Parts: sequence; C-alpha cells; structure tokens
Amino acid sequence: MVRLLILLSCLFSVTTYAASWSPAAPITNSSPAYKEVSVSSIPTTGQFIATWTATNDSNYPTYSIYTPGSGWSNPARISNSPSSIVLYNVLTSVNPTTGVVLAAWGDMTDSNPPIYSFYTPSSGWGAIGTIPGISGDYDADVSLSFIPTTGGFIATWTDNNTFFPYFSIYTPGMGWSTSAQISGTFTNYFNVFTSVNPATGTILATWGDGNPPYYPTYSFYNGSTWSAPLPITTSSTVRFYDVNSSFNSVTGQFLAMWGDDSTGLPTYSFYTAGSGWSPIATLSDSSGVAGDIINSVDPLTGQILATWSDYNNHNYPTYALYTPGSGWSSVATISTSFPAYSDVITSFDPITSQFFGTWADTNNNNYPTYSSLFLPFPPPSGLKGVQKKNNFAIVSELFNSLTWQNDPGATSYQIYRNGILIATLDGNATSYEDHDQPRKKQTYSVIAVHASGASTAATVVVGGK
Amino acid sequence: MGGWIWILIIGSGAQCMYADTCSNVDTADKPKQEVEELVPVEAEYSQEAAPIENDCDSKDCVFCPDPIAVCSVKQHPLLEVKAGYFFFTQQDMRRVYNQGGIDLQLCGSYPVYKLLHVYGSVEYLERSGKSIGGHQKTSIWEIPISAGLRPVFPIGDHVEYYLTLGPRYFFVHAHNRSSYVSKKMEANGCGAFANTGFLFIIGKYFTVDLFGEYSYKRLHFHTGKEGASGHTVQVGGLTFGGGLGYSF
Repeated sequence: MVRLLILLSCLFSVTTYAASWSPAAPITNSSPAYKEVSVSSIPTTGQFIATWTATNDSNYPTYSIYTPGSGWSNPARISNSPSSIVLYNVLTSVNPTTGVVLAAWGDMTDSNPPIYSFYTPSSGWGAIGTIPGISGDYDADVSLSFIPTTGGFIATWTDNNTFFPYFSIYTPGMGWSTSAQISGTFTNYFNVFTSVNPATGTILATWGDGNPPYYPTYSFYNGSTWSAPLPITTSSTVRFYDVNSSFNSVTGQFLAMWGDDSTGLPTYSFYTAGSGWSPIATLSDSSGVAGDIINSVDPLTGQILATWSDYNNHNYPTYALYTPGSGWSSVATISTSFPAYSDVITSFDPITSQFFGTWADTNNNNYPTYSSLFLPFPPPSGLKGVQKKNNFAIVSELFNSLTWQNDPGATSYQIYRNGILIATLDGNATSYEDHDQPRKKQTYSVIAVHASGASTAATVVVGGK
Repeated sequence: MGGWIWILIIGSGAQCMYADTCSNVDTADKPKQEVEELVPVEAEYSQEAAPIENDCDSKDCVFCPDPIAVCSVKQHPLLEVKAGYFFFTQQDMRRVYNQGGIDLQLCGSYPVYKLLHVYGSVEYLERSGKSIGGHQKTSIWEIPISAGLRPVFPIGDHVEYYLTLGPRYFFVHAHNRSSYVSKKMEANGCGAFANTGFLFIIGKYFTVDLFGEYSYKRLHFHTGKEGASGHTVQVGGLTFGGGLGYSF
C-alpha cells in the first residue's frame, strides 16, 4: 500500500503539468484584422510573430512579435510601400535554425504573383519583392513551408485567372524559382497548403478540387516534379475552403484535414508511405468547421493540434489534440468569449513547448487574439538504469546508475526514487548515481524541467535479483 | 623439492664464510683483524697439495661436507634495512590497489644454534588505487611485525641462502576518498609469513640481501556506514626486494 501511495504521488507530480489553454487575450486593441491572423514561432529567440491585414490601415501588412516576459509589441507595418497592400491574408514561415521569417501575401494593386518579405531578428523586415512568374496571376492567400533539406521555402497559391494551384521554391543564394503550376488539370477554390517531410524534403500539397464534387486533392513534390494529383478520398468533399496538412516526424505520417462539404464535420486522413491514405474519419459529430482546420505538430512528441472555428457553437475557437498511440482528444473550445472570424492558425515553439493560436475576434472588432497551449515536455529520452558495485575490496556499496540523453531545453533535472525527490541536477546533466542502495528493485523517475514547465517523467526500474 | 636438493648440492661444494674458527689452520684464538691476513685455506691447500685433516667436529664448524675443504662457519648477528615492491595476492585487492607498493623493513637476526637464527622485523608498506565500479581513490598501508626462525645455508665464501618462517602481526589502515563508504578503516590480527633470499657478503661487516617474501592473513573490515558492507580479505602478499645489512 505504501508503495502504491508513493507511485501515485509520483504520478501526481507529473500530471501537475497537464495541458491547458491560457485565457484568450487581444494581441492588440488598435489594429483589426481582415480575416485570419497568422502566427509562427521563432525558435531561435523563443518569440512568436503574428501577421495580419490591418483593415484600419488601408490593408497594409502588419505584424507584432511576442517576446516571453514582455508580451506583444505594438503593431507595425511590414512594408510602407503601396505595392504591399494585401488582398487577403499575410502568412509566415520560419527557418528554425536562423530565425529568419518569410512573409508572403497576394497584393491588391496588381495581378502579379505573390509579394514577399524576409524578416531577420537583427535587422527587421527587408524590402518587399515579387515572386517571379507570368503576368496576370491573381492570388489570394499564399501558403508557405520551410524546407529543412535546403534551408529554403516553398510558396503555394491559387492563380485566380486559371484557378490552378501554383508554386515557387526559394533556395538560399538562388532566390525564387519561376512560378509554375502544380497541376494543370485539378483546379482549386482558395488556397494550397503544403507540408514537408524534413528527412527527405518531400513536399505534400493539398487543396480542395475546384471542380465538382470538390474532392480533397493532393500531389507530392520530389524536388523536381509533382506527382499527378489524385483525390485523398472519394467519400468526402471539401467544404468551400482548404485542405490543410502537416507532417509528423514521430509517426512518419502526413495528416490532411478539412471540413466536409456535406456535414461540416472536421474530417481527416493520415498518409503513410507504402500504404497511402487511411479511411477518412471525423473528430466530432457536432462541431462544424467554419473555414479551415489548421494543424501543427510538436516534433518532439508527435502531438498534433487541430484548430478551427466552430460554426455550430458561436464560432468559438475549437481544438482537438492528437497523441501518437492514444489518438485524438475530445473536441473542446479554446475560448467561449472570443469567437473567431474564420480560421484559427497555430504554431508550436519547441523551446517553450507551447502552441500559440491566433484568430480575429469577431466580438471585439476583429482584433487579433491569441491563446497559448502549454504541453508537458516529453520525458528525457534514453533513460537507462543499472545497479553497480563500488568495490574498495575491503568494503563495498551498491549504487544505482542512471543515464539519459541530454534535453537541450532543460534547465534542470529532477530525480525521484520510488516517487520521492532525491536530487535536482543542472540542465547539462545526463547521468546520476544513487549510492548506498540495497539489492532490491526500485523505481526511478527523471523529469526535465524547462523554463516554462516540466516534462513528463521517464521511469526505469533498477536493482533486485 | 628439486630446488632444495639443488641448493644442498651447491652447498656441498661451498667454502667457509669465515676461516677464523677452523681448527685445522689453528686460527680459533686469533683476533678478527688477523684473520684478514690469512691466506685462504683453499689456496694454501692447492699450493702445497698436502692433505689436511678435516676437523669438522669443531663446535663452530657446522657445515663441512667437502672432505678436503677447511670448513668452518661462524654466524653473526645481522641488522638489515630492506626495501621492496609489495603486491597483494588476492585478486580484488590487487585490482583495487594497483598503484604504489613500496615496502620498507627493518630486520634483525641473531644466531642461536649453529646456522639457525632468530629473526624479527618491523615493516611498513603501502599501496593505492581506485575502487572498481566507482573509480574513487583509496589507499592502504600496513605495519607488519614479524618474528621467526631463520636457517642459513652458506653458498661459497660470500653468499648465504636463508629461509625464514614465523608469525606476523598485521596492522592495516585504509583511507577511502568516498562519502559512500567509511573513510577510515582499520583492522589487525596475526598471520604468518615466509621469506627467503640470498645474502652477499661485502667485506667484513656488510651484506647485500636479495629476498622474496610471502605473508598471509585474512582480516575482516567492519563499516558503520549504512548501505556499505565490509569484507574479509587477504591483507598479505608478495614482496620482492633487496637490503643492506650490517653484521656484528
């Protein structure tokens, strides 16, 4: 019974760090957004950058940066050039190694391909540029993804002259490739989202086919050519908008999500290499997707956050969390007082282990609004324990030796024996020895403590015959 | 057994260490200084080629197997300072204490009957090393005090072989640089030893000794540290070294 109580106390110490959303709050009360508010984490600084189209400022592209401890900066224009005025939204993507932010959008004043600008933490925004391409393109939102294998980016959008999906790839030192069609047969209604397998550089593009019956459609880019577009499924169609996707490095799967055209329910399918797309499923039988379902991934744990605006529940921002091995959590609201205009865009910061979700609050002049979801950090990986003998020949003692792999974000480690804290080590520690121990089985737990929370516990049983 | 036979064969051709007690050359009553001026009996014998009666019934001539040798041995008290290299014979002790090994001894022997000596010594030895598994520094020193009997077997004019056996008292002190076991540990008890070697006679008074020694005692070390357990170990071992002696 005592051992059971000890183990329960250990579990309690772990569940203290359970996930929960922070109260939603405005990013600003002075700069309303047009529709969506994009957000990206800057892992090099622990910051988040939010971008939107400021409707009270002639639709200039606008941004604000969240700094831990300081909050959001005052909104400011990305560019003062009249050529930069935005047609729809401003989306961003970040190089996690350099912290360089790429923002891109479709401009209102001409019919050229998308406009872009790079932000560096040291020098701010650079001059705007135009992705090279044929004249006459008319673009809405521009989706961006970072390509870890090249350090570049891919931009995708819909050419509203032809409604075919287009793309261009930015390669450091080479600039943008000339915009080209992903497909010349499958048209698109709004946007084309992409996600990247960081190990192979394979890019998945997904969109809702603009031709009836509006199947969710996909194509893979292998670095030189796109595969022939195909429906993800022929048993579901896309409701008005887009098909968002993400890649999960833990499971090795792509995930595509959309609002089903007939039911409005949040719908998804996993893609596994060699097996193809899984049968579609829904996250809820009652929550309706107002716009898109955005999903983003915690690359350490493989947890995926799906967010949308629930048109069946006052357009409240809504979410579900996928955990590998456990599946989806129940659907819940992020906030019941700050309804979203359309999409709820999210981004994960691995340093602070939290998602930021951003949207335009329709109850409050469409002011950009945010909330954060802290996830317990993953347990220290590779924990091993072994009982050893410290033999002085004339005397000896037994000690239990623990080793684990370094967690780069850890500021300290807590070591528990049978649920009792026995040591706190600095963040560089990767081993611990518990001396003068009996020759019997004991349970050790190691928790990595980060600046913004603690990990779940890794446990190992050591000792005994 | 073969080694002992070999030693006895060598000894059978041995010459006397000192000629001052051999009755056949009548030097028994001469002072020691004069003995130095005597012609070695073997040389004298070979030059004159005259038969010499063996007079090995003399009480001082205890080892005279050669019928033509003028043989008489007189044993004297000997005080020695010896140094050697010591190592434990028990595997765990040898693995832990794998550094150092100096062994210093002060010994004396006194002839009590013909070629038989009584022997006594005080010794200091130390070794150091690191614990197995924990890599923590540790050192150990011992003070063995020994007593014993030493038969001596002369080999030629300037060499003696000896063998010593007897009890040995061990006092052992260990210092562990660890907070996980007792830092200071001591134990003591009586065991036994045996040493053997060759004494080389240098001039009238000095000897050089080459020796080997084995000692044995199992001691238990107690620890009051919770979680640690004391062990019973063989604190003796082997020593090889040399010494410088003074013969009175």
